[in-house]
Amino acid sequence: MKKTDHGIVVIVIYVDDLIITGDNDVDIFDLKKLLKQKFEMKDLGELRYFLGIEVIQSPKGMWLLQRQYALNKLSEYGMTGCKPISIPLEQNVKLNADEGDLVEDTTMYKRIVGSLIYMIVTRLDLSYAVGVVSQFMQTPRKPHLDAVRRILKYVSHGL
Amino acid sequence: MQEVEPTCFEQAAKNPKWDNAMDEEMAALDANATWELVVLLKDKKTIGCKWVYKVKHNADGSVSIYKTRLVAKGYAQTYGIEYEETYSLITKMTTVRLIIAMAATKGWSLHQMDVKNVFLHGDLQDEMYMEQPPGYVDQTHLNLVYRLKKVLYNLK
Repeated sequence: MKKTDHGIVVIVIYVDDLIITGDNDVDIFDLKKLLKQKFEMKDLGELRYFLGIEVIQSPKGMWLLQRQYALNKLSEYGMTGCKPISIPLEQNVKLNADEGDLVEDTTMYKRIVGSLIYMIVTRLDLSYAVGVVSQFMQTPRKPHLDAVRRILKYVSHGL
Repeated sequence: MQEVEPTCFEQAAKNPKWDNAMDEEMAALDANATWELVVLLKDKKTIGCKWVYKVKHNADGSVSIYKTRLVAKGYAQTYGIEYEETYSLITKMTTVRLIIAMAATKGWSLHQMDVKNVFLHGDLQDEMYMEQPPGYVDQTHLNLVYRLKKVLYNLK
């Protein structure tokens, strides 16, 4: 973050991805020019897609969505054509750490839950359900995997 | 819809798209004086390297680029000998959201840039030797290794 004669410029850096913002376009332009001189950079213009998050800018405000991320993940986990569900967790179901058959592919379980955790960035409605299933990362069992699948079906609802 | 990503050089070499991408990566590495070919001294060790392949998609799901990276097998490095401190620039998601929210409330414009070949910008402090990459071994200098001068992905 830097204060200039005109106002302020802010840079967010994620390894090789940068977001630049500020209260005046003159400084933003100057900063971009400077960066392009010092490093080999690609100017992607207005912020649209950052870390799997789509950003839609409008005069009314901004939309953050992970629609494409969610679609990619659904296809990766073979859930593309699944029947959408409007509630993320089954009601009155108690999930236990030591009930049910063990899941064979524990890596897959962890991977799906990891993706779901990332989806919370724009989908706060997922947080409770994801919090529940993430407790069983150590030794996932069949009922836990069912719950995870249900969350995926919930994600596909309204996509 | 989803294209299969190769897991090793032998698979990728068959596809011209990946072949081109690898040529470009090698050219970028050479151009930036990442390394030099040297004779390996007796008491020095080398680390391996491999290619990784990734199909990058646009927000609408279409293929944007075929990306390859040459990565060092950094897991073979020993703490205290080949590397000491590790550090990487990462932003917390909350910070990203904060900045976007700030821009939204203040009506600021948001812009985006990215750096091509980030690793080319870091000088390497320690003495490191690496085998020549799969598919790009200098046939006239088979026994030589690369002495790294710049940082490569997966190096600690």
